[in-house]
Amino acid sequence: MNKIIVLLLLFPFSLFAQKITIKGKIKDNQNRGIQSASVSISDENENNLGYNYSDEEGNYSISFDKPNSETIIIEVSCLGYYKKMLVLNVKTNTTQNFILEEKTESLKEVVIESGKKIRIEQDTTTIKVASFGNKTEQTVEDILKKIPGIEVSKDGTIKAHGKTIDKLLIEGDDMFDKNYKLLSKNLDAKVLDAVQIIDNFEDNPILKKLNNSDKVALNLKLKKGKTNVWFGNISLGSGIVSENRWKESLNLGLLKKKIKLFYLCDFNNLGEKASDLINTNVLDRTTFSSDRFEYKTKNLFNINNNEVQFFSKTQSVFNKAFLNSLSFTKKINPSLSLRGVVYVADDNQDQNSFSETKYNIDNNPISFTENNFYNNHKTLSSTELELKYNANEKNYITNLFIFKNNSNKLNNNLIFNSDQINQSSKVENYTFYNHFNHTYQLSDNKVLNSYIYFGNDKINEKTKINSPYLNTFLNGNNSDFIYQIANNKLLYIGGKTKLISKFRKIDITNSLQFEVNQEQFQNTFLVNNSNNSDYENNTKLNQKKILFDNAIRYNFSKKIDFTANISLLNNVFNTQIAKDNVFLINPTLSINIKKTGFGTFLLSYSENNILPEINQLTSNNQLIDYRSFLKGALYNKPLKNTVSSFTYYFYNDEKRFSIHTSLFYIKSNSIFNTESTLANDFNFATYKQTDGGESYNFNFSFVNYNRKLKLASKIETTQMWNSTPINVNSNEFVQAKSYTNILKYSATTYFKIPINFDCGFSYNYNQSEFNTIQSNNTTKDFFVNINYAISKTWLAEFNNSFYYVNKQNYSFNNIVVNYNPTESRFSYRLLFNNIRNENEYTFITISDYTYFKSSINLVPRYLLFVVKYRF
Amino acid sequence: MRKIICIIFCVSFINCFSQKGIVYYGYIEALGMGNAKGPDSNAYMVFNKEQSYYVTAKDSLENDINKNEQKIFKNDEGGGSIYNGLKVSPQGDQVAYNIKKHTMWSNILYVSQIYVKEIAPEQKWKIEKETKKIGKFSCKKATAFFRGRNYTAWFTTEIPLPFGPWKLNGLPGLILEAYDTNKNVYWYFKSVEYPSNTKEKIKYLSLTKKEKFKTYEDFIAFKNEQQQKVKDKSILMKKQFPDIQVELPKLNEMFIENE
Repeated sequence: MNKIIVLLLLFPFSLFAQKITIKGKIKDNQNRGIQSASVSISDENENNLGYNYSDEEGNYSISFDKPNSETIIIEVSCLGYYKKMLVLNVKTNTTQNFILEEKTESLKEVVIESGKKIRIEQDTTTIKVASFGNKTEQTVEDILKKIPGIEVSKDGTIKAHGKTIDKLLIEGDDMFDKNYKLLSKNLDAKVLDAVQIIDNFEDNPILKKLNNSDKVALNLKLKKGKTNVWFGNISLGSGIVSENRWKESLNLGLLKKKIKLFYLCDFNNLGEKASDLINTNVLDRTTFSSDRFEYKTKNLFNINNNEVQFFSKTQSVFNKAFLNSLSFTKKINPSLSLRGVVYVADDNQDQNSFSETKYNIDNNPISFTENNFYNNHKTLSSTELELKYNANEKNYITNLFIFKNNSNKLNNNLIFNSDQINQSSKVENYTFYNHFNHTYQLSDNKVLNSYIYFGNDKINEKTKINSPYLNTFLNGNNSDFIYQIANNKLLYIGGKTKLISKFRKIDITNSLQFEVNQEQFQNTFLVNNSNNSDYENNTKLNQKKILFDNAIRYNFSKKIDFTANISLLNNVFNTQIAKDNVFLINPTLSINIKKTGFGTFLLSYSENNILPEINQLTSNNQLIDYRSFLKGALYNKPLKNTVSSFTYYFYNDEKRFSIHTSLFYIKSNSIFNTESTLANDFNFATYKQTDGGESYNFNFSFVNYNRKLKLASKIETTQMWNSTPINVNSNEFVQAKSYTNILKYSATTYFKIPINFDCGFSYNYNQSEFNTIQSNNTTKDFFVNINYAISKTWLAEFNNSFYYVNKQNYSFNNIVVNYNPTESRFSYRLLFNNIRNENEYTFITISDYTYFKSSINLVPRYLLFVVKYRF
Repeated sequence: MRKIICIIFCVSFINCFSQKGIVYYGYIEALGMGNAKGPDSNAYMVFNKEQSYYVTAKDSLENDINKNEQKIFKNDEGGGSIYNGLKVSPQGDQVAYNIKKHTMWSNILYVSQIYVKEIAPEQKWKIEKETKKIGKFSCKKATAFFRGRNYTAWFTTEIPLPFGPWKLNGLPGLILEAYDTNKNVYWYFKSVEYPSNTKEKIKYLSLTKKEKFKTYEDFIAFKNEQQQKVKDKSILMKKQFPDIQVELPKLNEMFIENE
């Protein structure tokens, strides 16, 4: 029995451990050993058993496990010799010698597989999204915020590599143009694979050849499997506790070779406004690229909404938002494509506030209170179509057509001191813009761009006011309504031809622009259905402009460049009263020293001469809000200011810190100022051209990371000094001075535990001085955010902020919990907003002689549960 | 006369033994990109029977368009997935391998040139049955785990030399194509010539007086230090641009070798 066990134990051992060694010598015809000959042994089935190379003397030795069959194949080869193969039957260690015969070796083989070449565009930085997100991101914007080199500001504007992006492309195609916030604020984050930052971006293929663009664009690359199928997500969110809160959205996308399409829809009452996603008008005047001019008509009457910018919108805005947008690009043929965007954005906002205003003009300040019940129903709709035609290598033609129809209904029942005032306003706005661009390449380094533009903007504004004060002032009856109807129009047409030349070290642009601009500011004023012509205006402004722009950029080296720009304008400035032929010169100079060992410097100086706007030229008083009248002035001479700026930044990776600093100095030589008379119930102001003031703005920030403490911190300060001449209830202009000091510190931890902190404080000090009366205001705030990664699929975030404002304390606490089960199409999110249920906030702003204190309601505590389904 | 004969003999002798070949590769490095897309560089290897000399990321191998942004790359600590143009240096990233001496000298450009001298590393290749044709050569597949990556190599016994691109070596034939699991590193074959009159030399690495060889252990320490630096930098960026999520960069997203 024992013997058997021993045998059993030995059997497998011997079976697997049996090694065979084959050795020998490889020689040539002259009996010399061949070095570096390859010997390789395989079994019948071509399984490799072992291989080796011969040594200097030609000796080789290969050990291998004994194969199943005893037949082995030995292959011996060496460069410069014929290959030899031998089939052997081996059971034990064997010696086998070989003699190889010489041959003249000549190998020549070229394989070209061009498909493997993936060229990385030199201006493109590709960033994989997966390495930066933590799966709590809801929209593309949330992801972009986390990518180094990309900043998203509070209003949704995206900056990449320090510049506001020109476009947000999707799979290389521009779909939304300037309204990219529609995409970034709505598209689901989970469809993103990578984000590319395209420096020196230029949409125009002809201009791209000159390669001197300063623009930056982002390209969103979607995950695989999103082409040729409908994809998207639907999310449903509902408030669970107390208030009714909703957040519903739908994303639909289709990406095909010839057509790309996105449908985005959102409804919420969390304070995120739909109209915030829409860009109003675009004014682009670039030196080395194409331009775009979209002018707007001026409104007349204003009803203040008293929204606060201090908090996030979800804390203080009471709004129902609805957004519906469709965008597409279609390739009609390889050289012609059509892009379109249609959207409707609708906001219905209720904002109540109680405010106290005090004008500290002399020893008897004027003060009053307002209790506002404000409602605004705003609808923005637009159609935008763009044709791009790439005629041939030298010609590129685009035409962009935009039509907008915006309407706005405002209603405000307010109690002024103790009297009831009702004001409502209905605004209809029709806008039409067309931009035609033709780019033609003259030679390798010269491009001619011709731009023809046309615009028509009409505002129809009907205001109805019932105010006992106005009625008394205008000798009406107490129950009378005052109607103010404004029909303001703007019509312009222009053309601009630009020659862009690029030489080895110099870029030059010469352009000639011609523009005809007709503007009308017309309003009627009715008290008790009869006109009061003292408050009616019919101002017309006709301008004929000829502009001659010349810019030169000299690149001393890769690190230093110098840009000079001189703009000459001749404008026939024709108001009804006077016709002036104005000649203006606006120079700009800047020097840029980039990426030296001690940082980057940018120094610039510009002189700006501009002409007044139409609402500053009215001959009679305008009622601009329920208690303010404003009267225009005659044009006298151009308005002028000079701006000097200095920017410096430095990154030191070795010592782990960075510095950013900037200094701006603005000197206003001539401004449109106002002479104001403040009474208890009314303000009267008249425009007057005067000398301006000065303003200094200094900003400094220092960021560092301490490795030992695992703590990153940022210190930031902003200092502003401002002086402006002001004339209030007086015969003369007096300098008003103001000073602002902002100090901020924030710190973030990077502990290797699931819990990490982000905290900081900020201090704001504001001081103003007018007529020896000094006032000041201080606010402090402090925040702590705790991130807790419970597990890979569960993530929680606690946000706590404390505000110390006007001797009052506020604290906001939010909790966000995310659950993203892996490999599920569903994800869940729980939002607990304003846990402590702070319901009112009082803030103070001071400027010059005005002290303004306002209390607003805050969005009460709510719990929102959101389910998202992706398909 | 004797002298001349002697010289002629010597020269012919040297010639005979220094008969060399050259193989050109394309090399795609996509470290940290998450896919196989990355900048495509040119590479070559010159060899005789005893030694090989491999080089890529060399200035003279690339055209101006591809390497235009090299300065930006140098300033950037090569962190993660950000590429701006091609990485190049005058000498390139080199590997010199001597079979007899069992040495491998190499260098990479990472902020500055990093030189490493080590005992020639071996890969424990497993030769598989699968074959494919690359050009006219019939190639066999071999796989091995080497310094943090699973490599697949396609070698041909028709060129029976143990060389391959970069540090890959030791198969019974020249490696024509090689890549790791995710194709984050990828060498592909372009052309071969043997014997070749190329002016490229089989050489050892030459260092300036200030430069020194690191041992392989020192190199591992250097990589860890660089990883920490990239992490610190991303934390700084987060402070500068709030809301950025920072993750520790993985070594395999920064270097070919990561152990």
